[in-house]
Amino acid sequence: MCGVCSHAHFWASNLAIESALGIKVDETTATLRDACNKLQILQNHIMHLGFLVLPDYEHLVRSDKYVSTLLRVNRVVTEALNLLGGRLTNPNTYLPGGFTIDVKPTVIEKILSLLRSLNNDLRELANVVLSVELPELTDPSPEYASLRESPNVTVPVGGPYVIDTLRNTYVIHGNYREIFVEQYLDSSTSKKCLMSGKKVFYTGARARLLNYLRRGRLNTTNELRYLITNYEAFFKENPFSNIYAKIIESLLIYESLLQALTSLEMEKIKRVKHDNNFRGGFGVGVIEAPRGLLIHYYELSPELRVVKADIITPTVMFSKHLEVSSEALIRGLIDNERDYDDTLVKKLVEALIRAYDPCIPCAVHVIKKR
Amino acid sequence: MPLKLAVVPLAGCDGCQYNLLSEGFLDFLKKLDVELVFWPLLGLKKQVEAYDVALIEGSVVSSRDLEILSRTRMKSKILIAVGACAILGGVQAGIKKPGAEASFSKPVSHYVKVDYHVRGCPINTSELIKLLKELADGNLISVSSRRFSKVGRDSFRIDGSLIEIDTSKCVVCGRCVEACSLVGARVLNYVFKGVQTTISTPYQEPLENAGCINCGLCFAYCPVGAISLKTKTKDLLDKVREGFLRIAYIEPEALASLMESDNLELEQVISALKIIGFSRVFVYSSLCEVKNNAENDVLARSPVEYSILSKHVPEYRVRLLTPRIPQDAVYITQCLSWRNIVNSLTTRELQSLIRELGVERLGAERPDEILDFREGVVVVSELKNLKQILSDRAKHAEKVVFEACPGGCLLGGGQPVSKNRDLTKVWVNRRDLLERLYTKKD
Repeated sequence: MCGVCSHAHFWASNLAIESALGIKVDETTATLRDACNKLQILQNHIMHLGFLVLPDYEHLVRSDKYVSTLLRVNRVVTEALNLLGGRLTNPNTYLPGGFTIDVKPTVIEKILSLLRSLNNDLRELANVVLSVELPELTDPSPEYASLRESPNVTVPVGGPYVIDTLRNTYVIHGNYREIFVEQYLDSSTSKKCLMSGKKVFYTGARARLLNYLRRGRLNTTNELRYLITNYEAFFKENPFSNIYAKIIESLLIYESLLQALTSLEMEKIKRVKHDNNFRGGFGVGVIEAPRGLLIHYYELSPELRVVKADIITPTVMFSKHLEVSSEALIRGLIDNERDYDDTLVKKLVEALIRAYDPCIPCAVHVIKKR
Repeated sequence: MPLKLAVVPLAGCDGCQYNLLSEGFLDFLKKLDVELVFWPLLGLKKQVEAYDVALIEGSVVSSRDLEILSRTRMKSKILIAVGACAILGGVQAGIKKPGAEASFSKPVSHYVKVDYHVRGCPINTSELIKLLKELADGNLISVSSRRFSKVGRDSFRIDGSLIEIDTSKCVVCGRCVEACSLVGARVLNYVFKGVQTTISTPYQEPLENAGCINCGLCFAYCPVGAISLKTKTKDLLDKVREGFLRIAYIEPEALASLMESDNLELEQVISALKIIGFSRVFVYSSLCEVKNNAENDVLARSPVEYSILSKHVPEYRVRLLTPRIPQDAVYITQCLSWRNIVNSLTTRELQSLIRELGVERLGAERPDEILDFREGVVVVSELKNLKQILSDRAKHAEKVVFEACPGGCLLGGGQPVSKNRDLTKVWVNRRDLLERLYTKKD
C-alpha cells in the first residue's frame, strides 16, 4: 500500500473486509491491533519530528544529541512492530479477523520490555520539541475531525464509526462519501477533501488531542493531563502547534500502550476460523492513522473478488486546510510589510508544510481522474 | 577516502528508505567508512562532484524523475536499483492510460545502465549491507560471475500412435508419472539427474512398445502441453461433411462432463452435434452390452481396462464391453483408447469443437433416444477396489465392470479440463449431472 504507514493501511482494509463479510473479533485481538497501530503512530511521529521538523528549528535546538536518541527510539519501536507485524513495510501477519501468527505472551513481554526502555528517551525528545518556539499564525479554519475514542482507541472494533468535529458528530458507514467530499483539480495530481463539500477541516494529532480535551475527562496521568491542558490554547490557535501535538500524543500513546499491553488477557484470544459461507457485500473501515482519519471501502462480489475499492487518506483530508493556512501565513507576512522577505516567506511556508506532515505517496492519484 | 553514498528517491512509497533508517543502516555506514552525501529524506544535500555509489528507490513516472535519474547516473560510479519499484516499475507500472504522464512508468534499467539490483518490497536491508560491504572493500562483483553460464537440457520426442511427448516443454512436475503409476501402466518415469532430469519411457522407446495402454491420463494432467494428442478431428469432420458418418453415439459420462466443464445444458450439446452435421444423436452407454456377458466375467469398460485386467487379474475371464454401433456412426467417449478400434471422438475434442462454434449459436434439441442399462451392475474404479470386490465375490450378485482411471470414467483420460480446480468437486458435480440424466430419461 504505502511504505510510510503500511500498518495503518492494512488495519483499515482489514476492518473494511471484516465489515463486508461480517467477521467479528475478540477483545484481545482488538487491543493487539490497536497496539500495532499505536506503535506505527509512535514511529511515524518520531521520524517526522526528528527528520523533518527539528531541522527547521536548528537554530533554537541547542544540541544535536537528540539525533541518536531519535534513532534509538525508532529502532526499538520498529523492532516491536516487527514482532507483531513481521516487518515494517507491508506487514505480513495481519488478516481480517486477527493475525496469521499465534501472538504468544512471551512476545508481549518482549514488546513491553522494549517499550519500557524508551521512557527516558521519549521524555528527552519531548523536552527538545517543546522547547521550540513556534512562528505565529492564527488557524483560518478551526474545524477538526477525529474518531470519538481517539487517541485512546485508534483502531475501533468495528463500524459504524463515530466521528467528532468541533460542532457536529457524524456516524460513518456507507455514507462516507457524503461527509468527506473529494475534489479533483486539473492543475494537480493531488486531491482535496472538504467536509460535507463545504467545510475546510483538519485531521491528525492536533484534532485528536483537541477532541480529547473537549470530552472533558482526560483518562491519563496528572503530569500528562497538565501538559495537554497547558497547550490547549496553542492547539486551538496555531496550526504550527501540530508539532507539539505530535510529541504530546506520542507520550500519551506510549502510556496507553504500556497500560493496554500489561493488562492484556492472552488466554481469551481466539484463532480465526475460516468459514466458506461468505457471500460478499460492502464494508467501510475507518481508523486513526498517524496523520489522521483513514477510510478504506471495499465491495466484494459473491465470488469474493474485490469489484470496487476506495481510499480517502488523511493527507487528502487536510491538504485544503494546509493550503488555507499557508495563504493566511503569507497574507499576514505581506500585511506586516516591515518584516517582509522572500527567503523568510519561503522558509516559513516550508516549515508550515512540514508541520502538517503531508504524506505525498498517499495523496496523489494517477490512475483515474474523474 | 570514504565511499560517497547517495540515496535518490524517485516515485514510490518510500518504504525501502524507511526500512533502511530503522534497521541499523546508519550505524553500519559509520562502521564501514561510508559517507552519506545525498539523502533528501534526512535533509542531506551536500554538493559533491561525484558519488561512488548511488541507491535509486522508486520508478520513473515523470520527466523530472528522468532528469534526476540521468544526472545521478552521470555522477555515480556504481548505481544500485533498490526495491521492486526501481527494478520492475512497481504498482504504477501497471497503469496504461494514454495521455497520462504516469503511463510511462518504467523500471530504472529502462533508461540507464544499472550495476546491481537489490530486490524485494520492501528490500532486505541485510542484503544491501552485504553488497555495500563488498563494494567498500573494493570487491566489484560482476553480474555475470553470479550466474551460471548456461544451463541446458537435451530434449527429445517420444512417439506413440495416439499421444506424443515433447520433453523440451516438460517442467518435471511429475503428474504424468503419478497418473501412469496409479493406473497401473508404469510406462513413464523420471530419467537423468540434476538439471537434466526429465520424463521418458525406458530408453526413449515409442509409447506402445514400452507398454502404453493409451489411457490418456498423462495427457489430461499435463499442465504445460508437453504431452499432446494426435488429433484426427479434421479427417473425421470431413467424413461427416461428405455423408459417410451420420450418427453420433455419445456416452452419458462424456455428456455429463461436457455439461459440467463448460456449463452447458443437455439440449445445447445435442444441438451442437446436430450443427456439426450428425443427423441423429443417441445417448448410449456401453454398459448396455453387460447383459450379453456371462455371470462370472470381469467386464472391461474400454481397451485400457482390458489390457490392465489381463495383466493384473489373469485368473478371471476378462471381456471387453464393445459398443455395438453402426458403421456410419461416431462414438463420442471419455476414453482415448477407442480411437484405434472405432470412429471416435474424445470429449475434449468435442469441447474444443463446441467452443469454436460458439455457445450463442447453440439451440435446444433433445436426443433421439437415451440407451442405458445400469441395473445389476457394480462399477468399480482403481485396481485395489476391484481386487477387494473380487475377493468377496460371493456377496455380490451383480456383474462387475471395471473403470481404470482414478475416479472412474467421469475423470477419464479423454475428458475435458474443468474450470473448477478441485477434482473432488468436479467429480461430485459430474456424478450429479449423470444421475439427473437418468431421472430425465424416466
